[in-house]
Amino acid sequence: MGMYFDFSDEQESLRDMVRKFMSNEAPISYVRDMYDDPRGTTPEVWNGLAGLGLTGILVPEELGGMGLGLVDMGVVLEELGRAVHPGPFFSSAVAAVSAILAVGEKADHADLLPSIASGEVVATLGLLEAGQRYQWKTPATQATQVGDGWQVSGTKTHVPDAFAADLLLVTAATSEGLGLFAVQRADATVTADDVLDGTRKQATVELTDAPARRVGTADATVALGTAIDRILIGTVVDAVGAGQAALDLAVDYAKNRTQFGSPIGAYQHVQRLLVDTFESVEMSRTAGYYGLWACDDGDPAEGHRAASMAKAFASDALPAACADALQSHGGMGVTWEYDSHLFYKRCLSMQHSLGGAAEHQEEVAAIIAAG
Amino acid sequence: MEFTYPAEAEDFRTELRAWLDANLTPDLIPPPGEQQGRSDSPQARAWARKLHEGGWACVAWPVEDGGRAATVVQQIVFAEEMQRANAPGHIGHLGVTHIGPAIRMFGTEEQKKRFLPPMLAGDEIWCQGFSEPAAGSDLASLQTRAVLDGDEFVINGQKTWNTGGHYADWCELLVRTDPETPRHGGISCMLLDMRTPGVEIKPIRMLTGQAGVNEVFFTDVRVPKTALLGPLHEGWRVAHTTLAHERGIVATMHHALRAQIQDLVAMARTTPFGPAGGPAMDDPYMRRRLSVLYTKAEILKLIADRQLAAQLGGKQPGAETALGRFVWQEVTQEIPELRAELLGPDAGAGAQARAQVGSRTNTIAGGTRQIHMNNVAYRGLGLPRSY
Repeated sequence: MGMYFDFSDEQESLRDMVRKFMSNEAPISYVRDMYDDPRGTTPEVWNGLAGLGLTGILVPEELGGMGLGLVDMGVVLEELGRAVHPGPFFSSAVAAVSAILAVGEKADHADLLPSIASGEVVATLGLLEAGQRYQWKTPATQATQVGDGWQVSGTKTHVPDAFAADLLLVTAATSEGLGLFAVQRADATVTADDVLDGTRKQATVELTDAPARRVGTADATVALGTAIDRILIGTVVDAVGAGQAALDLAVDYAKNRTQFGSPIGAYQHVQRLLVDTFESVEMSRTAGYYGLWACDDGDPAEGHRAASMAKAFASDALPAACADALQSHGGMGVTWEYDSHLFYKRCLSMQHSLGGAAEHQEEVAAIIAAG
Repeated sequence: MEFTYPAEAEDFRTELRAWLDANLTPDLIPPPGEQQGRSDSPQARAWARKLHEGGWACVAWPVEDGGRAATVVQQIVFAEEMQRANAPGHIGHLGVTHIGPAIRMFGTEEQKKRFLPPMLAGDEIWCQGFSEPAAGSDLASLQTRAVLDGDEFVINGQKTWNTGGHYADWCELLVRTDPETPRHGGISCMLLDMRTPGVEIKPIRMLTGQAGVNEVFFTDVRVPKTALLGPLHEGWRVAHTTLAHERGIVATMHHALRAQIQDLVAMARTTPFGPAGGPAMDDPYMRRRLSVLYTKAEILKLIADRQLAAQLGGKQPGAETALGRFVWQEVTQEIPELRAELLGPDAGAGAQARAQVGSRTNTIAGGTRQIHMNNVAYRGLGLPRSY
């Protein structure tokens, strides 16, 4: 018991392990190789992540996972963000697992989670639909009961990593409220989006009477909301890793690039860009770390408040931080070969994920107004 | 991660709360808008004596010096409870939190015995003489001279931005004792009786129209050699002890802000705003503004928690300390700005208006935002110095 706003020694070891794996197996050259690959990962790297147990961090031990919490997962995500790691890790190990854990019942967990934990199955979660912006509670996609099973019809947009996934979790309206359904990727038509950030693939998923397994039995709105708070915090912490990497790169450049006879980092206009970046990254980090803890602590209302605040702040702050970091490189910053844009785009992906600043600022306002 | 205070801090809270319930009578609470514990009055003096008698004048000090040897978390709890009870600060706040620790660390036995007890009791008020007209952010360029003449130092020069000098009894004064050694090297720290002949105090009228701080002039002011605090020419180190004690305070600064934002929310529920004239809390623009400010203040609280946790874990404070400082500076200005926007035509008069313009001080006093940013650039990010 006590006041301890930091990661444990075990969590720091986990961080070291992930960082080492990234620098050895998935350095920036790998990120660039995967940039236009529709799956965004190679079997070697995916099996490597699974072999370290990372795909099962949030899955209970009795189902083959590590049974750890979001704080532990946060350590991994920050490192993945730092390495702008491509591929479906977040979609499968964070989004899909969180949704199944929150919405599903014992049998769903036992049937679906072990193969996701082992990495054998790649899963993802599709919540959005065309013309609905970020609204996910009342989808147009419909699910109907057919015999013992279900069939789902509709179109999900911006489904992360749908192309790489084996199992698609989608929301659909049932005659009794919102449901979560697991559909085999083979039963869907998946069309990859031409995404800006090649480390975060998206696709459109069309379902026509697709055979589906219902996850859970009751209306999924509240449970899914809790899962979404965890996903939001995860995206923020991932982007904090990217923001920090952008800052590190820019500071290094400012110390070494000489103009007018001095390193440009000695000029206060350049320093100001970097200090502003530091401020945004550090504030996002602080909000993000607290959110990891709050979402694990057992009070969903506080988890929701923490997640909403973190996303409300970081949505605009981190892309702006990366833009400032990029600016400090001058012409190099706007070239394809230089890495600064990779971090910037990763933070833009976070900005557009499950609600931007406007949505989450309003959510925080609603919390204040209700309080 | 863990966010609970240890049991000894909660016991401390219970004891303090009971004491405040019994001792903080309504006549001791200053009216809203008045700076707490920053002005002289019979009530402020009486409150300081009560705090001292109860052993609450400076909880961080050792028991033998009249404190409670409070842990860092207990110090935070102290700040939380004083804020919750709307209790004014100790009139000798500056002495107790800043100057006392330097006297304890560098003072002779006689100095400690002479100065510490009346400081805690509020019987002797202390001020600082640090900044000069030509030595603001660049404090080490200070020029006020002290020349040894027999058994006395003779002081000549000028200080500015002095708080409370017009009612203070004593001053912690930085002077140049060695003009040959530039900057940090030739500075000494003196303990000066403010009633010594040759000390002249002139109030500076601030942008609020009110007097706040002072200029202090020194003309052939003679003080005994024993007025020296710490070794000769090593006053910079003494002053830095004082400045380092500001660190603990950063962790407590956000408490007042949370209360002020709650007040804004309460105001927004009843203040009409926007074309429809409904409550501001229902107006999308105002909801957004409140939400953004609230989030920033909450993140500031979390930054303070992180600093506290790092301190408890024995880690050296990093660049986050300067960060906490300038986020605090911003929020303290944004609160009165938003309040003014809520008030609309009522914003241009009265205490609120003065508080709003007065808050410009917050990004200047105790180090300008720009100096804090420089510190982050050099110490936090390791960038080359620009000066």
